[in-house]
Amino acid sequence: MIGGAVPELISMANPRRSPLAGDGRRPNPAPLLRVYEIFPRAIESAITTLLDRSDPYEVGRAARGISVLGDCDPNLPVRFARPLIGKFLRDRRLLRASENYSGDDDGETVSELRQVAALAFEAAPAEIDKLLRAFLAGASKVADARIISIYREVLRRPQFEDEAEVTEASRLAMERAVWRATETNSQEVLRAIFDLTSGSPWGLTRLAAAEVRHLLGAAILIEEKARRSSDSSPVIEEQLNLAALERANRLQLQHDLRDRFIAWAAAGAGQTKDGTDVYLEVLAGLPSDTDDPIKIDMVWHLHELMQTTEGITAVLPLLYTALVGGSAALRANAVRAIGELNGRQQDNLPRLVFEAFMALLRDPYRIVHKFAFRALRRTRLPDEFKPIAQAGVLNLILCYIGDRQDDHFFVDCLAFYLAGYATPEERAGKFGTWAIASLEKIEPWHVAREIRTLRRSLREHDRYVELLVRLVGDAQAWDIYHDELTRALADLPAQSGYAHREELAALAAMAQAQDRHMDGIFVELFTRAGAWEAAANLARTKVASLRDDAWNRRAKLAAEHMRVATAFEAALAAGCIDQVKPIAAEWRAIAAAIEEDWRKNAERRDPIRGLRSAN
Amino acid sequence: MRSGAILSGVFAARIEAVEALLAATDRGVDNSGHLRQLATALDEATTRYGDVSVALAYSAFASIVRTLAMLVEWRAAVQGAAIDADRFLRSARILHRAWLEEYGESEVASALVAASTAIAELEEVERVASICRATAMVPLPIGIYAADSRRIPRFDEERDETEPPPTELTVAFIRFNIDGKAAADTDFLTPKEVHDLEIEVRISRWPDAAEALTLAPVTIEARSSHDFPVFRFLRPTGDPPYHLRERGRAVLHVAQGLRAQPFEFRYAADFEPREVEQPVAVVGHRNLRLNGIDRPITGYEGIDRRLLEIRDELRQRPLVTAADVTNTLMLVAALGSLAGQAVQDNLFPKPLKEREFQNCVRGYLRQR
Repeated sequence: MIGGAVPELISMANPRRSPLAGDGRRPNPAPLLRVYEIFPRAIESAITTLLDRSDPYEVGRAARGISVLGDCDPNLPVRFARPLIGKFLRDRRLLRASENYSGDDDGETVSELRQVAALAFEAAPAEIDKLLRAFLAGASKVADARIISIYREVLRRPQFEDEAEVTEASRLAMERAVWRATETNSQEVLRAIFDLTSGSPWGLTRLAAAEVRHLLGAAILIEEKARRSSDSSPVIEEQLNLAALERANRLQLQHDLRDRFIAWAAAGAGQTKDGTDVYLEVLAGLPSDTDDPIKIDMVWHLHELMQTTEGITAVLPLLYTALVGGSAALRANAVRAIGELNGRQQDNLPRLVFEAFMALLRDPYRIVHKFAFRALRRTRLPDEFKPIAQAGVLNLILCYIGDRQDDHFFVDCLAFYLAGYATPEERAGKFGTWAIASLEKIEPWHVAREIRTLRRSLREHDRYVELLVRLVGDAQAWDIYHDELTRALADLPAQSGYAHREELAALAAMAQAQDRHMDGIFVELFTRAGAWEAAANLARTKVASLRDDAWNRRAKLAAEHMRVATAFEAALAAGCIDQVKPIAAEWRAIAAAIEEDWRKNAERRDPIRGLRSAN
Repeated sequence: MRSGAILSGVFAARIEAVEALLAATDRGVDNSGHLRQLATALDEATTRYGDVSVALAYSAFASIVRTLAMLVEWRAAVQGAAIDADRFLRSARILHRAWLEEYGESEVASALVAASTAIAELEEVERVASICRATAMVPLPIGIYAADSRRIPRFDEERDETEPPPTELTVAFIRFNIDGKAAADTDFLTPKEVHDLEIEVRISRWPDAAEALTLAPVTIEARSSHDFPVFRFLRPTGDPPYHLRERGRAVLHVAQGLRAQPFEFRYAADFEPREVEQPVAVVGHRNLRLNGIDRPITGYEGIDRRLLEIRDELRQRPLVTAADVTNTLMLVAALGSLAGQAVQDNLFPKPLKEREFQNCVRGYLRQR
């Protein structure tokens, strides 16, 4: 009798997750727990029966039951581990299930089984680890990846807790997953391990700190394996395109995994002195002054170890060596690491570091001076280095001015120089003219990307409006950066607006400006500049461009109001006081029409009209 | 940035204000109350405009309308033979002076300033109409869009309201002596000898949970090359600011070559444990740049010092590369040595011709 009730008791205690949010089923575990308290054997027997069923839903139900009962009896999932993991890794139907599609019930079962397997692993890590290793022998690729997903499940909860403690289960799960990456060639498995280490370790930072040596060791082995694999003959690649593609994908995955392992190791190493020592010991032990990929990646993450003065002191000798060394990649990554430090950490750096940093702005390798420039943008330099940095950035501007392949970088450098180093006189004078002329030779969208910085530097310059008109007039630049360009237009000084009213009026009439309802911005600009007629003309054109139908009625009335407002101010500017009364009357008539239109169409324009009427 | 269009909601006040000002040109009309209401409406519109220039123009216009309301009231009082009618004029003048102080220099209000200049010297009620008319005829910029009122609340907003912010936590190095002398930009320190290092710091306050303050050297040198002290101060007693002083011993274990960068130690200040509040600023001289050259370069101490000064200066120049510095030092060291010998051994007792001198120098350089 109890056996018959168990499925429903489980469904009450732990209903299956619904793809629709808020389906109203609240878990009520009390009846199941109470019955289990009195009849544990009967319940376990019923769960065994459910697990033996071929219907995945019933298997999932059994897993949900174990999950609930595991809260009061942590050994229960361990007792069911073998049949449960057997289903999880060997059931043919479940091995085909998709977990990515929320409507797949078999996928839900897989997820439920995994959760219980993880519970079992947490309760008895050594025992379940042994069991999983036994299952691994002869397991399919999918099953192999499923095993990794159990480790992921074990680690997922602590990953999102604040500074989770290192447990035997989390340590074992991490080590097993990390070392598996060095053994397998299966993309499914590699991808599962990548999923496990994607993002930051967050709550697992302590675990990462304890596992720095394992993470770095595995990264080195993966790199070695990938290197050996990529050394094979390219002739074979050409003959077997699919195989070559798969190998390229695997290599990319291995590369990504190497990077993730090093990132986690660095994040962990930054938390403890022991972790830092291990990380630096491994780094120092790598071949010196070569383009060793592991070394390059490790230097990339060095800033993670420099969170404290102790960390900075430990890291600096190696970082400085990389900064002034012969490898361009190491120099680039070292200078990037400096840029990643916060202001307080940068303030504690010896001046020798900044001397080396400044030299990299003139490094002949693009990767190095580009990284140095990016780091410079994030660094608060000591005063004595500012002239050196200024000369370095100017040098970059002059080097890149003729290089149309790297306009992006040129614009970055110029915008930074104008904002940070050029004096107001230089910006308004010859240098500003030269800068604008240079920017006009460049693809507009590259320039539009930096318009926020450029407008602060150049808005007072006579030729700035020409540049802005060019950017707004370019369909691509307008399409990508219309918000920034709109702000720049609205921010134009009144004198510039008046002096360039004709070009701006032509711009306002362009299709893209019309599409974005920019007329209001132009009206504000023109009237601020005293170009009353230009504003009135624009408003008239706007009204004429709108059809007088139900769809456009609101927009048309708003445009009419804008037209009347511009006509009103234009009349005052022209001294035509006699026009005030008729214009005022027209304004009120339009206001009444707007009111009437609102009243008439209130229901039609109500966004939740249908929902209201349903109630 | 701007948000929704507000023209329809706010421009009506502007039209009405102009109409009211024009109505006030009729000396029989006393619409001062209406003008004041309109000034309030214009003020309200001011707060809604996204464009600062428009907001400023409307604010100036609202204020001047309020002043003109006072003048219209003055005119009515004079015409009605009210007691002390001039009090309205006096009040209007005071308002106008305050208005000029606020907007007199503003470019966007310049036309309004010009239109209302006559208020300062106004004596006859007949002129009120012309001022109203001139003011009404000033066109103003049109504001179409509202100011964006969306903003992300600051996480410490609540605390701001209830608690005054604590004093900024700073650590200032007020004494940094090596062997009894204040540390200079670059000092000489003989390697493998013990030197005194003395530190005095001023701390603006002590963070609540902090147990100690550590002053530790940060350097690019390997740990084995030096032994510089870490100063650790426990929580002091008394009231802030605190002055803390300590002395330690410093040793350079290895010497430095001429072309090598000098040793550099920069003292960092951290409160322990690291989770507690840390200084927002560490100020004062806390950098030790040390030349640890243990053997003579030229054989002449004064010349060696000058050589190092030249080296340090070259390194600071923006366009001088490290290779340039190395090459220059090689030459300057040789010439420095020659200069020392020339003085010590009187190598050039008599004036000699440039060509002979150059031959002599060339010969000397080739020997090195």
